Amino acid sequence: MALERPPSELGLASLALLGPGASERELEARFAERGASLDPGVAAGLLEELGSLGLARVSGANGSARRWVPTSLGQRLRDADPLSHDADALGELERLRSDLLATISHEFRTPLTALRTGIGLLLDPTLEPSPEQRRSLLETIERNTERMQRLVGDILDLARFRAGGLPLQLRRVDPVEIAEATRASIAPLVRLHAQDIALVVEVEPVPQVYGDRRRLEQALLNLVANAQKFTPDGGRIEVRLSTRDSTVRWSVSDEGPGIPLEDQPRLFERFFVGEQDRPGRGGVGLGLPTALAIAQAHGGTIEVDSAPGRGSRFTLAVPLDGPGEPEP
Amino acid sequence: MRILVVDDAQDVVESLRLGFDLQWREVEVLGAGTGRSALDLVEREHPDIVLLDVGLPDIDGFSVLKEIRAFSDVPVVMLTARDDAMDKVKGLELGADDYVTKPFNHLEVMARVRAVLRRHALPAPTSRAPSFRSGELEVDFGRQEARFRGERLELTPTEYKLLYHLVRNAGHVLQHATLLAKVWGREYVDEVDYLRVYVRRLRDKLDDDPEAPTYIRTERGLGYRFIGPAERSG
Repeated sequence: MALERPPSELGLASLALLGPGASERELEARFAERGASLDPGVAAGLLEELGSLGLARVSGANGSARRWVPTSLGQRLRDADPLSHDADALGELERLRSDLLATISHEFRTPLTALRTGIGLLLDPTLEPSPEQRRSLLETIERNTERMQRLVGDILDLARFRAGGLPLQLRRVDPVEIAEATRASIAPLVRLHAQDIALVVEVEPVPQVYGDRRRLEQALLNLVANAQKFTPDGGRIEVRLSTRDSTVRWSVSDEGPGIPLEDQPRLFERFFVGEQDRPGRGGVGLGLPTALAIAQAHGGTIEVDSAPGRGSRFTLAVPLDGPGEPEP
Repeated sequence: MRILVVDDAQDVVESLRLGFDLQWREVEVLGAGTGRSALDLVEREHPDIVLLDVGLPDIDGFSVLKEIRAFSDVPVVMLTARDDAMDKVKGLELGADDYVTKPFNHLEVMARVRAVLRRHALPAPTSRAPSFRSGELEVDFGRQEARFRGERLELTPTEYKLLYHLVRNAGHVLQHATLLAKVWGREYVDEVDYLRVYVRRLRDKLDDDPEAPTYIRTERGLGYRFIGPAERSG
């Protein structure tokens, strides 16, 4: 598979100057220190270029200046022997992308198998399924169609976010309603695994948040779906709603295996699938990056608190007053 | 007849179960969602055939297959979501009997299961011909066994079948499709990878170097030829 495009020369230089992380201003300053002054807006364009190639991302930190950090792929590309940039490191980039395609293809083939088998059995003129069997096949088809629809939606959303943002439908929404709706969406899976999901509301009354209800629900559902997936059967998931410093916070705790410290910086990269998250568990590695993109579009962030053996807590935090645009 | 379906996607297990229920009433489907439970069921329940997914959450399907082969010759059909020749060859080398790529439908799976079971049920080919001898290899057609350097060769039924057809036609080229049809069945005539894997296994057991063969010569693009005793002495 060919790369869509390799990073530009200036893009590679920006990656080298990015260090552990930098804002647009800091990057400009680092270029200037080396005698290269960038025209206004160029640094931002270079950072966007690195972002679109998956070589850097906006870190989850709050604040007015966006801070960019290299992704692990960016680090690998940067740390590779400079003479071999064009061969080895780009080859690695290409390999990762083709792994990514394999992962996506794997994720589609499993629901497709359930669909093809189910539809084939229903259409086979030599077979006479009972009404119960017919119903069960149709339910399987419905479930797997939804799974594929979600997957397609996630891939498209993330691509749109990366390509310069998705327009948000902003209005005042009730954070409790968002949490309740998310809980209702995950309830069938929670029941299937004899788990329990609790909603704890820490503030009374709960202030409304200026945000995109559907997108916030999507972000929270991605966090809750992860928690459900990693919590053992019979375990407990908790969604805790609170406010702090003019932000509303949905904290999702699970009883899963926890995430090693070394994996945590990569959690929000596209298609990062941790050791615990083999393809068989249904992890395609889009849920967290999508959730983070939604949080950031709202001017917020996602915080992670996790350690092996201790479970994980992911907190979706967004400013109560929205992403800083004037309220109409 | 008991079929063990190993796949962590419950919907895949259930739709296959329903498919077998509807089309093949005497089949009982056992389901497993992890490699460990699959190994446990193979050991405890002695299924007649195993459909084994490669991408399992605990142990990958190839390792499960390897462990199964340590104690059982049960036919195994690998199920995989990767359309990748490397995966296919790896599965066959580890002793899988067949391979189906997702997304499959019930008819494809049914056809593969029937073909594999038919192959397993067939008696090994026999012949009234006297035993065959070439170099240090001796094949006793009556007892359906082969000896190499005086020691009995451990051959799987498929390996024996392949060796049988090769030596019965010693000195003649057997085309890929002919060998595949004779050993695996007519629906396998395009599966040249199966043949390559099994020829390699035979060569390993016969200590045969494909570059300078004593027994099995590759006829590039055509097939294989067993080097007959006449050629050897000539």
